[in-house]
Amino acid sequence: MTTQTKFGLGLLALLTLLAVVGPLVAADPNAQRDLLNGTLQPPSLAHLLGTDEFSRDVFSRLASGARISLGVAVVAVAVAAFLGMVIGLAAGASDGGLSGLLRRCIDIGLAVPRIVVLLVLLSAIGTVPMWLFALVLGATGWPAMARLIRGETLRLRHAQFVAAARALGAPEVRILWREILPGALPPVLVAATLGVADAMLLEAGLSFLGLGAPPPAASWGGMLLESRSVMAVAPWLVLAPGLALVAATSAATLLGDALRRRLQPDAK
Amino acid sequence: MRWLLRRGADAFLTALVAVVLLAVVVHLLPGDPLAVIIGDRETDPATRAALAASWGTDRPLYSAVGHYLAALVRGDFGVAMSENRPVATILLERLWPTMLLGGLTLLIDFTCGLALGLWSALHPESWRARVLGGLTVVGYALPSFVLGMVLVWLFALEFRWLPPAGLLDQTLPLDASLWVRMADRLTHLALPLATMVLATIAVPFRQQRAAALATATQPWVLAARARGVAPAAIAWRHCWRPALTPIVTLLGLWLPMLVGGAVFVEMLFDWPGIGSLIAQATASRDIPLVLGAGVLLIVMVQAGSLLADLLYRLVDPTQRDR
Repeated sequence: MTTQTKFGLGLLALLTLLAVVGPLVAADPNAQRDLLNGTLQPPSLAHLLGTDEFSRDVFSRLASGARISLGVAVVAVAVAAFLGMVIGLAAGASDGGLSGLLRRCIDIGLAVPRIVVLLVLLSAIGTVPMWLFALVLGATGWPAMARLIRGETLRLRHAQFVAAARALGAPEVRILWREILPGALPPVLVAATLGVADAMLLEAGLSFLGLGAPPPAASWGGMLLESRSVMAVAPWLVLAPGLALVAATSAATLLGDALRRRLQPDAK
Repeated sequence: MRWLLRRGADAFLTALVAVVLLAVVVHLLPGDPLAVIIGDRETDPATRAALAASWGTDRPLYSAVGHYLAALVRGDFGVAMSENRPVATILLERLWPTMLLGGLTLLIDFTCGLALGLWSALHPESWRARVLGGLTVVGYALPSFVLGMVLVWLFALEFRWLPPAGLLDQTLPLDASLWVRMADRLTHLALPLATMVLATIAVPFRQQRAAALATATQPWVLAARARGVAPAAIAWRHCWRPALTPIVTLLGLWLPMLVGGAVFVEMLFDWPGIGSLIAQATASRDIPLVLGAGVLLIVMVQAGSLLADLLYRLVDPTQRDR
């Protein structure tokens, strides 16, 4: 295990702790303690990361934001991976017209700019519940996944062990499920881990534009948006969610790299 | 040549279907498309009907999309509802700030990033390469707008060296000399450009390093070294050139940045480019403007991948027969 992998695992453990245990031990993230004297307090023993402009405890908000930001990213990637897997497998395993049609669908999916679709959909929905946000994020992320899985399926279709299974009379569905899918999984796992970082950045960016979790809910991107106007007097309000985001995306990148080295040693 | 024609037709078809899809999505959205124009004013049904007819929002879906495509073929992007000006004019206005920012970012990424990546691959054990490698892991994961906010806080608010946002200083006297104007533009460009470059340069760096590391251990490099070829020639001819393919892919993928910009960075810096235009147009639900910017992006994505495929064939002769 390399130092980088250990570092990534450590970050992941810390973030999981923050998301799982943090909201249980921290104070109410939405409690406005002292609007007269308690706003924009720098970090202290009473408030580990200070308070924001509504005198809310930043650490509590960071912890409850961890649930939103990490949860949305993981669900979004899972949705994208599932859709991509179904479509990619079908495109790679089918023959003739259907295969061409599905390939064309993936190309078109890749051609439609994701950010425009996301902006249009999210601003049309207005106040977005978090599960829907994650779903929309995932539903626009499938084409890249599908292309990857289609490529893997095409490569494995003509592998000797697949031909052997076919010669033994295994039905096509079984071949897909038991022979091709397991072989196509490693690159998908790597792409999904790296994709968590992308999803997190998109979530934070969209929240930063005011399209994410509606206030008073705390997501890291939303906290950045709120801190923007008071940045000059309270820079810790930027640093806390900013560093949390960097830690989370770094963890995803480091672990994705580690998985790639472990699962695809021959790929560069 | 036949290949190019087929590939071009393919790209055109894909772009066409993508435009239709985007138009359908935008037109299917709930809510009143005339709200941008009417706002909170009271209107009687007759005025509404007249407005709907003049803007074409009373058409059924297939007709609206059909009309849009027909106009697009004639080069007519329609009229922006929020500003009552042709979409094409607005797009052109917004294009050059984005091209300036995106173009310089691409230029720096694909010169400095590649050079540093190649150098790191040739000196993998040196401490400088190790530090650089560690930094790029963070750079890889660094969200652009978080980095931008930190830079604004440091250089615009704490030290007050650079302006925090905008394209130029609106309060500059009209008779200011050329040098003053140039300096003003450059100081306004500094922070967004630094943000974009620092947030993206890790990607070409890592690609180039990985690819060059793979070629550096190939037998032909060893053979060249054994023949006494100069190190610079080895780096250039034997390591760099075979390692170009992934870079070409990346260039094709990133070309849309020239016109699409980075929505989040442009919004953070109030940069009047296409990226911030897309965010503003969707926020005000200006259908023709959103579609116009979307079409521009779609075309650029196709152009990028077409260019990448073309460059492949230049860089890698084995691709030519396929």
